[in-house]
Order: sequence, then structure tokens, then C-alpha cells
Amino acid sequence: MKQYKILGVCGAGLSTSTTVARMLQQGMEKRNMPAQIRTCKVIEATGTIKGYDPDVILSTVATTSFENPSDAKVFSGVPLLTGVGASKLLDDIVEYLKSKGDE
Amino acid sequence: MVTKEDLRLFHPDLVFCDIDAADTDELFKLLGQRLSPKGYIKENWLSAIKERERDYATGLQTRTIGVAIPHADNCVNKAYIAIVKPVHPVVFQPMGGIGDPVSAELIINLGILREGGEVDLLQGLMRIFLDDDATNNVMQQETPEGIIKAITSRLM
Repeated sequence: MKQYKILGVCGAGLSTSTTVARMLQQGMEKRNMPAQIRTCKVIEATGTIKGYDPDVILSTVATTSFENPSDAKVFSGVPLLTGVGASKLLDDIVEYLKSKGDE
Repeated sequence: MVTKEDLRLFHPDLVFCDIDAADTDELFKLLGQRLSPKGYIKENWLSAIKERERDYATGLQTRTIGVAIPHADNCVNKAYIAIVKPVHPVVFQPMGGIGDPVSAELIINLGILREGGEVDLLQGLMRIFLDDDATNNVMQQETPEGIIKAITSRLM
């Protein structure tokens, strides 16, 4: 089974990125989609994306505040923190990952 | 899991229900004045937290209330969690830059020392705000002790 790679991006210091990445990981595991997570600061984002090659990127800062050199889609992770729109976001990400196929 | 050490960070002395601020700048100034004599923050705290909030806003509109979790690194002497239930809501920009400004009725300032610290704590706090009953219980409290109890009882 494919192990998906989630990258969480946040400002710095406080791990909102870890929190949202973990929530996504838990949501995906419930759907039998195992995932590993990694997080970084926004200023490290471009380099980390290149090296890690994530399947999906979750950001708690503006999704336009860093350059994404990959074809992985960037989602705002904020709904996972507020709860508003959280299940739709999970569904959207799962659908996106499935549409990419198992590569 | 939230550890006992994490729970010790919640202290009634760091819950402020009497701060009345027109905007985030004034809020941070007034909060800094409360935290500084207690030795929690460094001299650069005020400028660091303002800058951080400007660059990466922390307003979160949950289903029930607006909250904000302002924070900055490298400006804290010892770990703390300060909670402000302001006299009037304070407008924060939304985290992630999407959506309307957030009228924050509860502000949680996480004073953290290490990068990536207190992830479980943050997740636990966010779970409270995903739960309408738990949130209402926190907001109904009028004393620092009551607020601390309403929060920590949900984290244990």
C-alpha cells in the first residue's frame, strides 16, 4: 500500500503545521491511506518541498507565501484547526490523492 | 497526549479578563505589561509578536467563537500560556489569509521556548474549540480560576 507524504507548512515556532498534518494523517488512516508527515517553516518551504517531494502540502500561512516547485497541491490547513469545513477538506484531499493514482 | 508538565503552564495568574484593547497592537502592549514583571518575556517580545502577527496572522473563526493564538519564538524566558478574555472582542486577521477578519473573544498566547513544542497542547486546545459545549463552558466562566478549570479539565 502506498505511504503518502504530507508536508505541513507554518510560520515558525508554534507547530500549527504539525497539528494540522497530524489531523490529516489521522483522517487518512481512518480511510486506510497510511501517511507520513513532515513539517517546516514557511521560509524553508521551497527547499523542503524539493527534497521531500510530498504528495500533498497543508499550509497554515497564506498558500501564496511560498513557492511550490512541485506538482503537489497546496491546501489551507486552517479548517482543521477551526473545525469549520474540516470534513470537506479531508474529503477534498483524499479525492485529490486518489485522483493522482498510486504512481 | 497532554502531559502534566503542559498542564502546569495553565495558571490563574496568567488569565486576564480585564484587558480592554482597541486593536491587536494595544492588546499586545497591555499583555506585555502584565507578563514583563513576572519575568516570562524578553525585551523583544512586543516587537516580535507584532511582527509575527502581521506576517502570519493567527485569528481562527470556529463554529462558536473567534479565537486567536498569537505567538512568536525567541522572545520568551520561560514557557507560559497566557489567556486573555478581553472586555471587548479584538479583531485579528484570519490565519492563512483566507476569509474575514476574526473578532476574537478569547486570545491564547502560547509562550513557547522550542520550535515544535507543545503540539499536543495545541491540538488539545483546538479540540476544545471544536466542541460547542466545551467552548461555551469556557466562555461562561468569569474568573481566572474558572477558565483554567474549564480548559484543563478537558485536556486531561
